[in-house]
Amino acid sequence: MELNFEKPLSLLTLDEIDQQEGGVIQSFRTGHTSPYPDPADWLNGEEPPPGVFITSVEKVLNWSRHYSLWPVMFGLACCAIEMMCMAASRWDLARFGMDIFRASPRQADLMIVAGTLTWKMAPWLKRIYDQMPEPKWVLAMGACGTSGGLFRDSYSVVPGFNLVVPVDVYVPGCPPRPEALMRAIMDIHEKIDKTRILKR
Amino acid sequence: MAIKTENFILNIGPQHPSTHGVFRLRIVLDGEVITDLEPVFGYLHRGIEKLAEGRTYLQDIPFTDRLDYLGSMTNNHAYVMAVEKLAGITVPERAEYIRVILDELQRIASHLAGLGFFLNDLGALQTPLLYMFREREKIVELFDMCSGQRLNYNYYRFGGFVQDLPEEFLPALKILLDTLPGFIDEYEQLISTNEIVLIRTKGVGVLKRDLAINSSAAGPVLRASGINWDIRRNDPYSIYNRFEFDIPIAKNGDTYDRYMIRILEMRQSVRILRQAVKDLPEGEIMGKAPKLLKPPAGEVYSRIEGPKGELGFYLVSDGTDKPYRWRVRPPCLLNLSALKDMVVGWKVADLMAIFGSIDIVMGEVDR
Amino acid sequence: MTAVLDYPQLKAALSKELPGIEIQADGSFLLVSPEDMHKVCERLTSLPSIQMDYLTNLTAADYSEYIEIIFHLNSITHNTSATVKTRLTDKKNPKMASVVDIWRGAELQEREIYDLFGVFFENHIGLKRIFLWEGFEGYPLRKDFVNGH
Repeated sequence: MELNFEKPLSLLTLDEIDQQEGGVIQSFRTGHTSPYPDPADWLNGEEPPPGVFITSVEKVLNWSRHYSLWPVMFGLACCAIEMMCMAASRWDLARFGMDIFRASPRQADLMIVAGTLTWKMAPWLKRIYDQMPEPKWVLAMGACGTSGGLFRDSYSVVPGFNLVVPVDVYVPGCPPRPEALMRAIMDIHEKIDKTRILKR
Repeated sequence: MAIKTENFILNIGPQHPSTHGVFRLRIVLDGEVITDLEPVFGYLHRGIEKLAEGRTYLQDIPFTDRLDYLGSMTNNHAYVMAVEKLAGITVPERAEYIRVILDELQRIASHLAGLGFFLNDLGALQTPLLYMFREREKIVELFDMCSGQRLNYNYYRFGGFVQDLPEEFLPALKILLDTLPGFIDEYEQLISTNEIVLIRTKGVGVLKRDLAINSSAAGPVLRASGINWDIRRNDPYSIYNRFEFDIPIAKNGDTYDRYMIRILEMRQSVRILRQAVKDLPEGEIMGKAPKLLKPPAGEVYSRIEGPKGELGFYLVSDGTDKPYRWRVRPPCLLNLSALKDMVVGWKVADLMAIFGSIDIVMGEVDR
Repeated sequence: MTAVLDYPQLKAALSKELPGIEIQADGSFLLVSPEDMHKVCERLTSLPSIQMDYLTNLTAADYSEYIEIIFHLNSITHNTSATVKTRLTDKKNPKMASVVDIWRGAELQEREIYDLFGVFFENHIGLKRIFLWEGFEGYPLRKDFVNGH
């Protein structure tokens, strides 16, 4: 899914860059028509693995990941304002350890995608997701993330984020209140507490 | 001996902390000075104009909320006014006063958010933004009381409102009007005499008077360049000709003027609010409008003064219950027409200051 | 209050300046043919009694026989407004002269009309798609483009 670099990038004109990116978006659109399955097997209970040593290492790792999730800022449209309201002083997000929204995906482990995703933006969402190091989680915020929302039958809107990235938690609402978003983040904390390091 | 240099193309990509949403800029740099700029739009293009042709007039009101999502009440007002002109519906007195109150509150909320993001871009990482959001929360709570929603209100209807204001609204509004001017004064005193803000914004990104008119700029961007044009004064709609207020005009057209105009406009909005709350009459809030609205065939272009500029709707009706052509005149997109002239010659850090002072919202640029 | 210009008077003033141009002024707008549009716009900005220096809105609408381009103009000095329209009957290859050299604000709006309707503007400074990507097939706001594809 990369741009085709027969000539070095400094010799391409801006129009040629536009043409190549248009080709990338067209091929992305035809290639992503079926959704990724939801990684939801943490909801069914599992037996704990044997061994005292593994269990306490897991507990420490999960505890440290739970209390310092750093989100990458990916606010696209109206839901981004509610995400910022949640990070502001009334519904303080810093008490969970998530106060700084990282601008670079290499330093983050949670991606909150807030807003409507269009086909023009979709390849770059996949690229930012690929640049995040493991382990990583994705939260789809709003009705536009679950199914395309109000704009579902438009010619340029992706009907649901799970066509592009695998999503862990969906938050309904248009836009969801900050309290609903906090409940979703606490669901991700529960999921982190139940991960096992031996099988992923 | 001459050193061989070449220009460098920098991509300020769609995912970026300072671009107010998904907006992409490709700039050509000579060292650190910008020589050319090309904006790329369309990362939030949802096709609202095409979707609106497939729904009835009443079902299109939620689409107008999501255009400029920091100013939903004024968007609703512009659309509802256009359809009322097309179909010949009159609005009762109490509804007109409530419309003015909600519009001016929305203008204050939008300017607070815009100024908070502007200072965020200048480098005051998040501290003024949190203060602005604290005051904005008080206004958003008032809107939550009337309409049940915090961001996309969908409160206006053709002919007035469907539900009256609740009883707690007016006492809470009066308490807010007593505390808000003090906050605006404190903000102005802390920021406007700050040395760093003055050096980074005075004289930077000048938009000259003739270019401002020629490139169809509107709102605070136009008034900061010295042009006395405000739709509430020059082409009054609703009942704005009954209130006394001034229109702040600046002379230079630089970034500092665009920032100052928004502070002065907030003060004038508080003045209008005080007069409207004092004169609010009793009465009914919904005029005569049919349940299924089928306006007669024709077209209309009607406009209001939104917080970002002149917001207009052009509607063509063919006699059925769905519109034939539904067009929004986007103030944020047209304020960006002269971006290249404002930015060329300055450095990359100034680009963010200039861009933040125009105060755009991507939902309206791309629709 | 913004006064709407009197269209028969406007037609008389323009016909005196540019003889041989067909203009219709019945109803609430001025209808000009596409070849004369650029000259009429130049006169509308330069005549001192009219002086339409502010282009408020430039848009298009798709009817069954023609594509109509609508200009909403304002004069800031005199506080008046006017609506001027033109109709392009060739729907396979619609084209018209660009007014970017008269009003700079037309640049982005003409790109949008090219992107969503397919109308080609001659002498534009950089006419390419603005909201949709290169390689998108079709023009969405035309009536024969069905949503969901």
